[in-house]
Amino acid sequence: MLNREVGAEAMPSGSLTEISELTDGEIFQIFDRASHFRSMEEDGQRFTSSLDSAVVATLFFEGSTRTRLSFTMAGERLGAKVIDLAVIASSVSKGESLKDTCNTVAYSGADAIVVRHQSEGAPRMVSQWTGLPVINGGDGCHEHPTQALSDAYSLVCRFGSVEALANRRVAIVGDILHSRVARSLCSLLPRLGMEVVLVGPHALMVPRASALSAEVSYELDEVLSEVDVVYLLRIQRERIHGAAGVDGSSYRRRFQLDQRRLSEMRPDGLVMHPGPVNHGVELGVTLPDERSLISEQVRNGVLIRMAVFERAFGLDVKGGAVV
Amino acid sequence: MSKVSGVIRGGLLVTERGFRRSDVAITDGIVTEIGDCIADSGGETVDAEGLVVAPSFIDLHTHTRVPGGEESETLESVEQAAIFGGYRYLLAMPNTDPAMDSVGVLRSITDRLEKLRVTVEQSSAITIGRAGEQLVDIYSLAEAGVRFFTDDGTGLRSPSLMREALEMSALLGVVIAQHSQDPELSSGGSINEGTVSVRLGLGSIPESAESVMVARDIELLKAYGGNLHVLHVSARESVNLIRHARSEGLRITSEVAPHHLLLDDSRTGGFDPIFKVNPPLRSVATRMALVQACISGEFDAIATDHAPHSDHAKQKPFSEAAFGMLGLQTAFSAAWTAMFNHPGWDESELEAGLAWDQIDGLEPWQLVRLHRVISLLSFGPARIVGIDAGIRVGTNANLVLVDPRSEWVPSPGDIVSRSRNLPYLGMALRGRVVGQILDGSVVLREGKLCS
Repeated sequence: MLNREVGAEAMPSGSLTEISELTDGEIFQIFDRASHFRSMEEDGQRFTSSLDSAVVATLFFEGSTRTRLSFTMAGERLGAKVIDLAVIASSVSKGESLKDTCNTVAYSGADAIVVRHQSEGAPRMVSQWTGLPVINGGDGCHEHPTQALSDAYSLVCRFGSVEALANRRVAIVGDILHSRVARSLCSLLPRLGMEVVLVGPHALMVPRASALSAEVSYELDEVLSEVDVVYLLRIQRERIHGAAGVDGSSYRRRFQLDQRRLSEMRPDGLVMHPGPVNHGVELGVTLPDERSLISEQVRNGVLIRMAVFERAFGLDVKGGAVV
Repeated sequence: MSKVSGVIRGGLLVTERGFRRSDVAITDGIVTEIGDCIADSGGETVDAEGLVVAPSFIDLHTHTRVPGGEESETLESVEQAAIFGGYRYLLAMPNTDPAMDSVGVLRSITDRLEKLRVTVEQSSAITIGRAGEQLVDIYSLAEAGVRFFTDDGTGLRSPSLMREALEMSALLGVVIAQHSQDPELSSGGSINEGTVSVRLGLGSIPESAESVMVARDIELLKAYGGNLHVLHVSARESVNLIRHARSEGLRITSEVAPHHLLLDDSRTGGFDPIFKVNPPLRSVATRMALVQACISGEFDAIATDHAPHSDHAKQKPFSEAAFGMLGLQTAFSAAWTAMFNHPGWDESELEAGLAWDQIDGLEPWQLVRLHRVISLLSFGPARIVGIDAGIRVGTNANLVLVDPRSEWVPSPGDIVSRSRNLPYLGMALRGRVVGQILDGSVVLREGKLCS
């Protein structure tokens, strides 16, 4: 899958640019460590500074509030120094290439880099260029692996164990075509035994969903009653070019999760969203706490990213208790 | 350069009808005798046992990058790449800076082209600045000697401009070469539309972006006449459309690129921009269909689409990197490797009316496919550019020595282009051009350049 025969510099083993780079064992390890951090958090313990003196540079070439904050919190909780390169104000705006910018960061002493970039594959290239572990904070329409790990872990916490995810069904609803979260989820959730159905208007659906190990539906009402989780996505207007016509009112009528649709779901059916939520578009109802995992996703995002940092730095840690 | 005299002994001589074991005698650069056991006459003797003696190759699709792109290639470096690849002739693409769109720009490089040993014929853009809005002065350019017109890099979108260009081509006896690709269906795309593009989330270019324009151009050709050449065919439906058009007697030719025969879109799965090319590497199924189309004689030529790019144009995130790959030095090897590896040999390939002598280590069907590769690099494109490619007594010696059995792995040190964007680094290729006589002079000997 990631085998490159030609001209490839090897990618450092701690990098995480797409889900497929993780072994099953590493996925379990990340969940175990997140649970460990979670119980420390609940007991009010201070985290150990296991990344003491390490320097993590965050390079966000696209806007971000929550993901950037989450990576910063995760790094600092483990004692790392997190330096945010203000890309817009840096020499990138003076025409410097991505390669030169990243090499500058590497030569300046960074030990790992978090990259968010509008171009698919950019984090992978940064890792090859710099030889440093690189964590993908979202690359174009490709992947957002730490988001998917946080989401899956939120489901593990809610359902009680990884085993309890088996055969549960998730509908990912919205702008599938431009969603890096959807691609990471499609790469991760089936490995945990879950079934994924992608739901959205034809103009925002991928052309060959079978390549993503998922089923497809063009009507949310058709799948509502049969899924355990509805995972809502935002329409990424900023990535929609050209002819793809998406009418706002038609979208709301067919795909908005409103009061009626919420009540047509299974009584214990869950709702998730990677944020930011566009209230009144994909979500048209105030969710009862017991039906929403949205704030859990954010909370777990920090814990998962702590575990991903540990992996990036090759820390030899023992797994905490499995939830 | 001094003209060579001597005898090439024991090689398999390629003719349009097959392979014949023959000696070839050359005196002062002229082929003087072809036959068995030719007597020595004082010149040098080349032992060509196990080698193929073929007409020098002709490329219909080279980006020389001159003027304006000398950072990535120069006329001198592209000439060297051509000699290593076995080429005597290159058709230079007009997507230069400034674009080749007037007699004035053309004249600015004529003197430099004439100094080269390899023939480099410059084509012109179809539209001014290749912008697709206004036709160049086809009449004056044809009068100045231009025979090929193309906006290569982009397809000519306007059907009325294409109609006009085709009508002019009939009138003036020139060729319109189309980069068939609908700009809307390919908009924002950098990779084949398929399972790989879906997984990577990259904008994609479907095969239909090519075939809809091929279909439109064929309809225009039918309605208004003209001479159409379809560049770098990469879609299965294009092959069917062109076959049908040819059977209706339309004046249409087509080419396929070696990389579309040997590489598929799984190569792009690691986001390596070295594999970014336009049209994109297709699915395994399409790649195999294109090789089968080569074997069945659907194409007139294998053409390189040699597209040098500097490191800083290539070493970028995939969607931002430049399209294109090097191809001149490796064209024969890549195409022959693809044909050699293609499964599903059947007896019908033998019924091409060919006659051949054996060569140790190659089965008859392999010889038939080898003949096809060499023909698509020489006789086929020679017909399009009006060159008599055959090795015949009384003509200037223009021939290559090819070792079809050797295997080699291209390394960065093999590249003579100014750029390094070769997709075959580290891959085992079959067969290699080892010698070339260009216009009666030895330019490549035992795989090394002769100055």
